[in-house]
Amino acid sequence: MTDSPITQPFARSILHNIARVLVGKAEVSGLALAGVLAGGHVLLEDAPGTGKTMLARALAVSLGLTFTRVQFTPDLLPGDVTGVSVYRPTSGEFQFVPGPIFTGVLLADEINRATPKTQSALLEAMGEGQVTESGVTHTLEQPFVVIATQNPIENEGTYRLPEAQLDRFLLRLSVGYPTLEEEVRMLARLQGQHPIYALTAVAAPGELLAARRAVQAVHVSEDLRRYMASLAARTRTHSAVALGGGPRASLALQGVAQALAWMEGRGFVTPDDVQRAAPGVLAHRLSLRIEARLQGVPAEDVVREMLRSEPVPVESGHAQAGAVTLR
Amino acid sequence: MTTAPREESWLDTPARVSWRAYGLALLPLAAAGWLPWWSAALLCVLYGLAVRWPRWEEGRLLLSLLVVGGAAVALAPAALAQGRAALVGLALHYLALFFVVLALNWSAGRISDGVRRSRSALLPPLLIGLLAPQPGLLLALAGGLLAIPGRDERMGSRPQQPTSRVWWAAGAALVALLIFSALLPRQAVNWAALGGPTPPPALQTVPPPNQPPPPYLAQTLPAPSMPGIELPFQFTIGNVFLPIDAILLGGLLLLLAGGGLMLRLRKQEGGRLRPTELLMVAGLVLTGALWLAAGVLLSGGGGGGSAAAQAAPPGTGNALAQLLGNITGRRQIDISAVGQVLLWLSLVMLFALAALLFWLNWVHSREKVMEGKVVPNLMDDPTAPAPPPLHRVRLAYRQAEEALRQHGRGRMAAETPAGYAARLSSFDAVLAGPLDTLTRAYAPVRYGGRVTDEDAEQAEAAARELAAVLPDLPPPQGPADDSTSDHKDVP
Repeated sequence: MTDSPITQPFARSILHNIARVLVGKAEVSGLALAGVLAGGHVLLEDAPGTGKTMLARALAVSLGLTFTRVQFTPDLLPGDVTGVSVYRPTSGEFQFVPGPIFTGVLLADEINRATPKTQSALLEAMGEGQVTESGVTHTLEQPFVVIATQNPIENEGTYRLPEAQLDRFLLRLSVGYPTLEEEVRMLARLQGQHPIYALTAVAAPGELLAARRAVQAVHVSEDLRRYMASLAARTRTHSAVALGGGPRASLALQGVAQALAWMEGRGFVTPDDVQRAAPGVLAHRLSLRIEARLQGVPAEDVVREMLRSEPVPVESGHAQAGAVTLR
Repeated sequence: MTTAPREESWLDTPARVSWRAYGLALLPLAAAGWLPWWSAALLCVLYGLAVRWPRWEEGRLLLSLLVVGGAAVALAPAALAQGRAALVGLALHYLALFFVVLALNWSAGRISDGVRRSRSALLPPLLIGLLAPQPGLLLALAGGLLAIPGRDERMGSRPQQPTSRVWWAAGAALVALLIFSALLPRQAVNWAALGGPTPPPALQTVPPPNQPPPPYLAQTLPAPSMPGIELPFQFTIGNVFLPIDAILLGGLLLLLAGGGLMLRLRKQEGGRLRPTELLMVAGLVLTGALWLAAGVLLSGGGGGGSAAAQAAPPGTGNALAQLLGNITGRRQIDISAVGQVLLWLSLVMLFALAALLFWLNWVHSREKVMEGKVVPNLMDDPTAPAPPPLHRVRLAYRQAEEALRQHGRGRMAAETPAGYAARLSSFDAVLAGPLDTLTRAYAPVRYGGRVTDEDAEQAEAAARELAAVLPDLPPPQGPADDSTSDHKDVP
């Protein structure tokens, strides 16, 4: 972590804590934290055993939030997540019993194993921070973060997340396999008791809320807003994309870019922040055309291609004429 | 003679501007009360084109003068038919329009530059509009307000130009001349008599259909006799150096400038003038010719002369002329000697200005020859005043980027400053230091932070260092990377 550009003390301590458990995953940890700081939910998608659950747990513990893990299965019902109203014979009334969703961090493990009906039970909670049961709305405590994991390889017994559900996730990240050196270090570190059990919180829930407010105050220049909007608009017209990102995608891109800038101790967003955030923010919102899917083109590659072709707002000397005039 | 086509310049590339910038096209409506409707509309179109195309922006002032001159020429036959009074009124009106156009152009430049306190640039249009009120003034002010760029849209590469000092000196000389002229005695030239006999009212009071009468026609209406104004003192002068002489001199200078501009443009690569350049020269020449004509008319040309003008009875002519003619002084102070000194000083200043312009031109040409490029290197120009740090950093970055581009190390359009610096540094380690310094200073300026003088100095030093090391570097390795507008894959 010595060369890390993260200078903001809060972010630095969280990421340092996560690094005790997860070896060599600074980039994905940083992006996940940025997603949480931007007030969003994070979807971790990768092959089994890459550390998705570990990252989610480490993040939750480090933030000092209450943590609940729900293993999503095909027979899971919406009420199992949100809570149910139970009839109390003694009082003759129905009493709402809150589900595991009433927590600080909900780890929805293998979310794509639950039926779409159950997956959709999270929509209201993730979008509006509330749960409605039997006509009564229950507000979730804040901060509320959903960190979901899913395995993209298996198709048997899984249900693909619908677009509306995917759109609720601010970021979709892939942890990825460690390098050889990282794996060797991991083996050494995990030889005894897993460090996750010794992990303690390094922040209080109130600190996360304060950090979110600070992130929202990070300056975004008009040109960069235009740049982000152009990127989002490009997803709607790209030849490989059937359905692009909506305005929520632009908002998400701005939020994550702000969080990344804040974590690096800057009061302003740069195009680098936007480019760093874009694949995680935009890729899962793209519905690729059948041709692209058959060719196995990852949505992340489509986003990267867009980033390579969208002009960055820099100086206006050559690419954008209209600078020095003879007056 | 056949000439090679001129190289496409960045001036011909459309500027990427926000739609709000086109509000500037409404600014000339502030002067709609001074002009026929068609010339005001032409000015609007011209200002709109200047927003989109740098080439038109370059010629905005001269083209505006062409439009205004054209309007004056178009009105001349009608004024001629009404007699010499109307013609003199038109000449005075044209001279006023000249300054109106200057003021509008200055305002447009301030607004599009987005300099601090840009809103103050709306004062001249407001004043111009209030002198000849009409509904277009509101549109002009709204357009001007709309066109003021946001903090992030400012063009950092528009600090004061080296020639701005010349313009300041010229402006100061002009103001001094005007103040001095205001204090000159009225006995030498009777302004009230310049118009000659008042034409019949029937000829003067018929405005064109659907058009308010131009101010100059309104001025030729018989004014009620005004009480004389007695000042505590007034200067008398023997050897007269009057504004009229200055007008004639100005006309000659403008004609010379038109010829000079034509020669300079023809010397450029290709030698063939673009339509905008032709129009610019035409604007300068027409303005010079009209100034000369106005000078001749105002000096009582056509056989009357000053003597005839003096002989005319007071109380005739326009209201302003009458007012000026009625100004007298209780005490007369002879400033003939001072007048002589000022005359010589004016001439010396004129020559000094010309010399300064030549010198700046020579310095600029020498830089171009030495560097083999057209990029203005304002940073190294000792005569250039220090622009604000924000502009200095952006200018330094732009110049460094341009220098790198010319050495085959251009930034790709989709490349961020940090990514660009990292890519170049991976190929040429010697660039790493200055590029890092420059990028660190540039990012907060460009994307919303603040900058200090120290940062600006560091950025400029880094840009100079880059310019110094670039000639010694080998040709760039890997794929050609001199495209700033087209995408190429990052190596």
